[in-house]
Amino acid sequence: MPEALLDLAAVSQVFKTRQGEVRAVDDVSLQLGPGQVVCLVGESGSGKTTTAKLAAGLRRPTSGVVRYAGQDIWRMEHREFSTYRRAVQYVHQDPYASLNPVHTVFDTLAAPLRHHRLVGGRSEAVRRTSELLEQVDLGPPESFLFKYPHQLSGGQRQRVSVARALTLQPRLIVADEATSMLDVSIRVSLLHLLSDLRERLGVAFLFITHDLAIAKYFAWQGHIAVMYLGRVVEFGPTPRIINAPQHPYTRALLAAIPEPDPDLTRHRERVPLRSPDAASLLRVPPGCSFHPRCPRFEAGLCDVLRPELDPIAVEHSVACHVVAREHGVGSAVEVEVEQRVVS
Amino acid sequence: MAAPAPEAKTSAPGQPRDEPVLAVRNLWIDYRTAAGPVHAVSDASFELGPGESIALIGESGSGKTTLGLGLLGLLPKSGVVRGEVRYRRRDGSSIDVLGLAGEELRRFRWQECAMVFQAAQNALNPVARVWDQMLDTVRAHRSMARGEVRERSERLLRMVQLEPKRVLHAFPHELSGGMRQRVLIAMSLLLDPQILILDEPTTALDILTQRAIIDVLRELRSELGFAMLFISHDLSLAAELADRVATMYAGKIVELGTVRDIFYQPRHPYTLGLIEAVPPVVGDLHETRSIPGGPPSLLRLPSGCSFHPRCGYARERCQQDVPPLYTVDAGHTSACHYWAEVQLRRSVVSDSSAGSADGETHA
Repeated sequence: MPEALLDLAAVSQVFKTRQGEVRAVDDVSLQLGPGQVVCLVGESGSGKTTTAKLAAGLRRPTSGVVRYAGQDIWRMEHREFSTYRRAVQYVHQDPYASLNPVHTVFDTLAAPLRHHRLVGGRSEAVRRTSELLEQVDLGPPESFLFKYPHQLSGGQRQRVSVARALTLQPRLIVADEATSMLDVSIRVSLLHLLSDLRERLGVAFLFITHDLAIAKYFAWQGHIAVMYLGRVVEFGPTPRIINAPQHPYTRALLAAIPEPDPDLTRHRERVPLRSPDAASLLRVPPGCSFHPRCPRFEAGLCDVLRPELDPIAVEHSVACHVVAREHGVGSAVEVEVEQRVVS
Repeated sequence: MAAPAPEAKTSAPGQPRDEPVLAVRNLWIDYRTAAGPVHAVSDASFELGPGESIALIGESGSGKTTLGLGLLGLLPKSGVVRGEVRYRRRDGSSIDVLGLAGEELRRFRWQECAMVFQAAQNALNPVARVWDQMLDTVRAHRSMARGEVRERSERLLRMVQLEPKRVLHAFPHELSGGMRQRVLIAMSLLLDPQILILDEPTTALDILTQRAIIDVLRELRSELGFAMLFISHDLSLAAELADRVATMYAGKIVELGTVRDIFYQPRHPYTLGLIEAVPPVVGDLHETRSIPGGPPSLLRLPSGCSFHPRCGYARERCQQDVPPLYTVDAGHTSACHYWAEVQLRRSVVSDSSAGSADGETHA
């Protein structure tokens, strides 16, 4: 396997709150190669945004290592860290909050270019920022360069955010719910734009979303990591996750999605959960944290032993004792074997 | 999953229906602004049958929330309403909602027609227990014995899958967003209204929570028989819960039909565009298409059909003539001169493509 561009190795992020410790991200490992796409999918409190911030170097993990091109980013020299910062860009979910309201589009785009001394004079800055606007289909550039954010629509602002992420020719874009605040008709065109950029520029994407439809359409050739209460519970190629999910949580999620098709959505089989409400991150259940809701719960196993991500097929792994056992892998199988050896 | 799915429930167009519980005719809602009056809702007409569920779908700025607020006389002062909204009481008498004021309007709002607002999770009083809020809600409108209020509250909470013992004594912050939303739905039904208006009832909730709300609404409606008007930008919600769907664009209802009309034979290019922008999650990958451009400012609506600058079917005529609502079929109307040419190209999807091979587990 070629060297990973980005490598999260057993990273955890613990927040101390008045009510106690919150393990927002718990022992997550993920690799992303050049030009690859991984979607982090999860509901609120799953830790997907914190994981994204760890990947983008915006937070330092409590434990574990984040590597860029093989090097621990938190042990880098200043110059290497600066290279990493340029190579990995973050696109925020809220285009209304992420652009400085008193800066024109030109100011916003030229600032990183100037900071990293990538442009000389003003005319070069105008030329370069115009190219960037064209790359995100905001043309003609003259009619956007000297506008302020409030003069732009939500979709146009998000395109400016993407253009800003492109200023330093990144190798990885971390996009946190980049399309969730946009109307559907505009969302699709932004997704198309991001897919285009990925193909044209070979940029890798770590794409964070709660919306499996978006994950499907953006990452069909990539992978999906499903997160639940701070942990990755299933990882696999997108078509498999969407159409042959294995973890009971992923299955429940996919079965619960309302579909824009009345016959399909009213007659699908549902996965009945034992409880509709998720546990609090302050009181994560022991063993598998999904066990209080899981339809396949086995007492004495799932509430005791924490499942690890076990490979069940090529590039497909699941953190579930019951599913892993069906595939002849996992800690439940190992425990059984040990018991047999002992007795 | 091969069994042919039975048809989604529709309100059988063409057949004589019961008299509508709500009849909206030529409703206009203007906002006075510094830049001049803005038509937030233009000439909207529709009827809501008893026990029927209508979805108003559209994107931000389409006027759907304004329409909902207008029906209940809840617009800000700058809003001016014209037209007719007739409500039929259970005893058969009918009232003009737009003529109501003061006490009458207040009574209409909760007892006859209740509304659950967008971001409703924040609509509860943060310093009062759920029980006190339920008691206050009833007492503000009707005299009812405490025990009876208690009984009704418990019954409704159980219907929305909440444990009354736990929830009644809780403060709102002790409940999750989805639980608060269910409390509000239960509360809105305390006085047994004939109509429930919901504005984006599942927006900002997690998928499994959304699912619980959808199932709860469906069950409540079949048990209590209220009519429902819900406002959403989410087509899937309409596919789940609506008998009929009205698409709104730039303040107008541009298409109205049964849920099957709208999803399988949309006849307005904007409805078509919305459907093509959000294909199903399960199954194969389908092509998605976006609608070019963005919604227009209500201050500067394009001439003719306001959708024409974004429309692939538009011709010269569309720049001049405002399209009337053409009748496509009994109960199906579209405000497009060229509705007959509008065709949904995406085939209806089945979710048979994968999955059953490796160990289907749910029995």
